[in-house]
Amino acid sequence: MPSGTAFIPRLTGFLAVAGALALAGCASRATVEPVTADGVDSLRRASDARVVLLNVWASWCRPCLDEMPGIVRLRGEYSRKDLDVILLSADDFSDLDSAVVPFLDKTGVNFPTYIIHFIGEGDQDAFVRSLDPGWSGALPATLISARGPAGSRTLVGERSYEQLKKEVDVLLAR
Amino acid sequence: MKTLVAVLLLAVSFPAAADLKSLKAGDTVPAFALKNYDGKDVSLEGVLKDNQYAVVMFVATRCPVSNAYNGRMAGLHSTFSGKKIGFIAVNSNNSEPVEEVRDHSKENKFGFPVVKDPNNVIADAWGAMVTPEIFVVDKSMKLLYHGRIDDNRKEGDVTKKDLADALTALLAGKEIAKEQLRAFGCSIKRVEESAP
Repeated sequence: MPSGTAFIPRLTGFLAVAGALALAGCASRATVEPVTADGVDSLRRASDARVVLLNVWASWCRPCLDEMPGIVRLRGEYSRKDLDVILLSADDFSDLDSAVVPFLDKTGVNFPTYIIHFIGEGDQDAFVRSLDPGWSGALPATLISARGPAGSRTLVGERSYEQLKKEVDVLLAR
Repeated sequence: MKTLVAVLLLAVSFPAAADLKSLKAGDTVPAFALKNYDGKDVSLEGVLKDNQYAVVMFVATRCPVSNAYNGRMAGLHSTFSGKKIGFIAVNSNNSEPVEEVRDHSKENKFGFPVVKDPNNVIADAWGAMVTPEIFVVDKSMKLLYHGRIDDNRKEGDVTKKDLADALTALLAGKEIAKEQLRAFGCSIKRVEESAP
């Protein structure tokens, strides 16, 4: 069971970004909340949607950037009851303001997103294992899971909007 | 029993994480013979004939993570190649042609061969998914180590040099950790993914 400390407090960089966005009156722009490995699990469990799509991406990963518009489009076409999309950046936290937020804004991501925040040695390995023991850590990675026995699937490498939609529809149809 | 992989084209397109068998410590690895970027033949068996161990590194020319390790890979080769440890880099990315691999290798002054893996046959056979991804094998082609080079793509922030520690332990005749340690990297661009 994830602990109550899974979500770490917003850090200085995040506050600066959020504050700047608030001052600019851009309430619809992306927010990026730091989250621990346990926190990611909590996010998935907390979702009420029938299907949860967790996309792990990074600003240094070209295929991740290429597939992002398709993911954003997909999210816009389903109700939150059917599909929840969680975007999780694997960037270094120090790249949040310079690379992560600008890309999300440019791509029109106007919903809350997350950036993994590692605490302690070995957490990157533990994080990868916790999401899917069969995952190598290669990005992009999209983990699509459904409630109940419908199952889950981890997709490594860039996927098109059509491919992701097909995966989601298969799970929703079960 | 050594297995020579000649042609192994998997029918799956866009492999899911669990679709490819990942080799584990203790497994016998598939042999390979491929062309270096300069056209010369390079085989795993050939490297093991002259060395006690071989380090096989799946790399890329365009992946920022793999490129962040260029200097460290060259350094590991400098440190260990004179100690009966041979190095082969494998480029399985369908999106990176051999000319690019050649230029990249020269620019980075790699002292080890960088072989091209057409149609990602070897990446599939070894279950390699990411760059950089490391395999260390002994003379009997037994896999001893599979995983990352170290724990941080930013060299200044590295706290654990997993591969260097493993190679040092092997040379000292010590046991090495059998568990694969993972890190974020770029997915290998397989032939199906590059198709129009």
